[in-house]
Amino acid sequence: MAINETSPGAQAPGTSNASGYGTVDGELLDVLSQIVGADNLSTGDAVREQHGRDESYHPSVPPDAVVFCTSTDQVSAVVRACADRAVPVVPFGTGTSLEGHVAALAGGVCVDVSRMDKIIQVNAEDMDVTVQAGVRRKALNEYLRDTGLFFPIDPGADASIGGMTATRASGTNAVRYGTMRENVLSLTVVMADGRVIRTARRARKSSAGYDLTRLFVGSEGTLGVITEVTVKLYGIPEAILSAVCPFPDLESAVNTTILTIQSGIPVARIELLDEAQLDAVNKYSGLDCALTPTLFFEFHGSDAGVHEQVENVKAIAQEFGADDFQWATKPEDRNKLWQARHDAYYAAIALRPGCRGIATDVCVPISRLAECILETRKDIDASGLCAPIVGHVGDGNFHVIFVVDPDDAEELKKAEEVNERMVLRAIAMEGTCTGEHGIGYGKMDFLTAEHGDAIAAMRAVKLALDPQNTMNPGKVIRV
Amino acid sequence: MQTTFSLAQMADPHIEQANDILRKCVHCGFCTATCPTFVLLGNELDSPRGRIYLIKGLLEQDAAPSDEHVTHIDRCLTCLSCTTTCPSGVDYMHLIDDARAKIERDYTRPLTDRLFRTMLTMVLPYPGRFRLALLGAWLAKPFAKVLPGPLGAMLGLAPKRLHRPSAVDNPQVFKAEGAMKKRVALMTGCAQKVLNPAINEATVRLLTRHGCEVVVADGQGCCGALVHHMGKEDQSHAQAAANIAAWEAAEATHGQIDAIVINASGCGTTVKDYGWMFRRDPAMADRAAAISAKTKDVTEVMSDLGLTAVANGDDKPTVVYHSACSMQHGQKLTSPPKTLLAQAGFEVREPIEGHLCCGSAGTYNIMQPEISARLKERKAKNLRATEAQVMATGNIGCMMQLQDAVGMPVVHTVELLDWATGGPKPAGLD
Repeated sequence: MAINETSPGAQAPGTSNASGYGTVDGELLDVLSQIVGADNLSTGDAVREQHGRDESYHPSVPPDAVVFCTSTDQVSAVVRACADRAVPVVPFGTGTSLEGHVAALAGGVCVDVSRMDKIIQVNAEDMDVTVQAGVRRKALNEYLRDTGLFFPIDPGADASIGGMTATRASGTNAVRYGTMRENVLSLTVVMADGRVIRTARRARKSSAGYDLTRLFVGSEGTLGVITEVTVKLYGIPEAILSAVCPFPDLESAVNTTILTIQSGIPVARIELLDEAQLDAVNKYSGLDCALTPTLFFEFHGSDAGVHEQVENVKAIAQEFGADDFQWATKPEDRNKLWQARHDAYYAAIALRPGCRGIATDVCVPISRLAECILETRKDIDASGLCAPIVGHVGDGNFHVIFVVDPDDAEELKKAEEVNERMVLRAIAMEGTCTGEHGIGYGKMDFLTAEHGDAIAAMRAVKLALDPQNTMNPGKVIRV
Repeated sequence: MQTTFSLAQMADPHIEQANDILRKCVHCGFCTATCPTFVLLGNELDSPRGRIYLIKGLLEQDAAPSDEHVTHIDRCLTCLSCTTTCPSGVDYMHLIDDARAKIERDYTRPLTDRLFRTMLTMVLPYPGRFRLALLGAWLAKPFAKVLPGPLGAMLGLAPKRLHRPSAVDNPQVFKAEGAMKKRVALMTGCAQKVLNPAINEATVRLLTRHGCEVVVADGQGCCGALVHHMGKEDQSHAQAAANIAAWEAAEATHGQIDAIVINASGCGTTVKDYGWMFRRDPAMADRAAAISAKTKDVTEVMSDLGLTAVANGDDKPTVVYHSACSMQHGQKLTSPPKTLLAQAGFEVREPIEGHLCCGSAGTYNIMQPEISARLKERKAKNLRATEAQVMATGNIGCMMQLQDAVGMPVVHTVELLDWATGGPKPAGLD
């Protein structure tokens, strides 16, 4: 896919800016320095470079300055200072996004919230927790360890809760526990003009007015900076059982998934890895799985409940010719298995040293999943590309990771073509171009293909909340 | 990781090697969480991934290193915790070696810094000079608190008393007790034998008691790590070559040597790397590789031999074992020392955050006193929390770093093993 928008790129501080934005000049830097302290403001090349890049193949587009904030008040003051000068603001959590979300396409100030890493309040009785935006998901679960509760959303990267909220992230547990959409109760947000709002209370449900929480979940920093997040927690299940089950072919694995979901079996995780991905995972994470399409399962519940789920899934898998379940009950074995799954993206890139990954994440209604995956696999095989498939198939969501040589224009083009066909296929099946990674600036054309006229409504929302278009400009929709 | 070296650059074997290492990195960032400087400072550039990016830029642009490059690369402890964490097998150690060598070649440090570094390289590896320097340091120690930066840090580290040279460290052969099972060469080291000669003495007793003939080769000296980590490649290679020649000569005189035994894990990491250091030198490559192949930490050799004649005694203190970074990350030896201590009848405890460096890291505690002090305090707190009665470790640097901070005696693992199998009680445990 061609990205039509050309990026203005970063401006050196103090130079004029043709795009109508204010510049990051000495005066603004002084103001920022007073807000966060000189040590927490950087204009060095390496820091800017790092903050303009995420984990994707998109090139780094550095901001003019990076501020490291430690409180909502600081973020508010920084955003206000930028708004007064019409300077773009790009929020940054851990930089593990996959569609160039953090690239400072119009320069400006990057607001790094990674040092906002405090757990503000655990309400164990209500099963929720309020954290600062920079808390990482693994750190949160480590902190919660003693409470018997856990936070289930688990994207591959050890991302920040703020970033996960901003991209509406999910992970392997989503089939049972939902995505960030279902699990955020309330947010503290710094608006484009620097005002601070709280979008909801802690009540589990509410009919009080417009659902601003859901508006900011998935807003990718284009409407404001998320500084605090209240999320739902869940009790750590009494019994957890994981299993690996190899299948004779891709179709039988996917059909097993579809039938499992349609039967209403409450699996906690059901993940597909194709041969190529298993090869990568075996090498990278030291597993020794057979090289054939395989499902990773996890079951949560009481002993009896888990047993029942297992029997039902085994019966379904047998129908499709698979009966070689290997079980992992010990926590260390389960952790190894799921860590390997989480590292699938890195494992894929490691197949070809020096290459970069284009991670895709179409999602279709579950009944269309087999069709969508099989046609895509055929297309990849015909193209000769290195592109393993791994997916949260229980949700109808799967990833093709194109492992490409960034210097090989022809290969890149081929990958873009296969990708475009796959996305259009998913949209034609009433699916979406992105199940969990978001739009960033890498998928903006697909967003138009998917939403059509609804884009105009999105634009109206954006301009109402950010009239100067200073919040992460150039992402999600064109203004 | 994508790299953009030109064909001309790739013709340089150093660049070709760096390119191979860089391309293995998938920038996942798992290394950052286990990097001591990132844990303390929270700056990406003070993490392995940040340094890898810096080094990539430095090598690709082929420009002189900037102050920023030098600051962040200097802050690396070379603890190699990142290489234990990295699932992609990025060879960070040899990458940063190259970066340090480039800085040494192409960057001019401030004069005082240069003089200070030169002084360290001229003193520390040479026991005679080091002993004299310690005498001077002892006299100047009262001024340690008022002297700035590294100089004060160095004086602060000087031991309270000087030991006499030990006769054990002279070139000679110690016969095995009973039938000889192995003939080994003991690397007697440089700074260690000045700071704590009891370690080599205990090592010789332990090894001979377990059937080793121990050769102390003539002509061996510093392993070369100290200058190597300052990027001074010519000197480090010269020191390494001298050691290789010394052990070869010892073998020619005394017969086949089964192992080069090292009781300072920092040196062990370096000697095990001699094969790599000389891999492009046709005259030395095979010889160096042969030496590296038979280099063993003393606990590896003892694990092979098995502890015998463990004396029973109910007064054995509880031991907290501190694994030196060069032991656990450099040599990837985690269980042998603990297993041996347990077999010797000690209750062995381990501190939390065992993977984090204590801040000693060769001359790091002299060159980067602030970061080093914070790591030392953190490590000491975790060690004290185990409520053990004695701390054991396998590296002299950690011993010197922690001895005044942990509030309990600090001994070398071999001293405890020696004691438990019939040797004297280590000094400080009375």
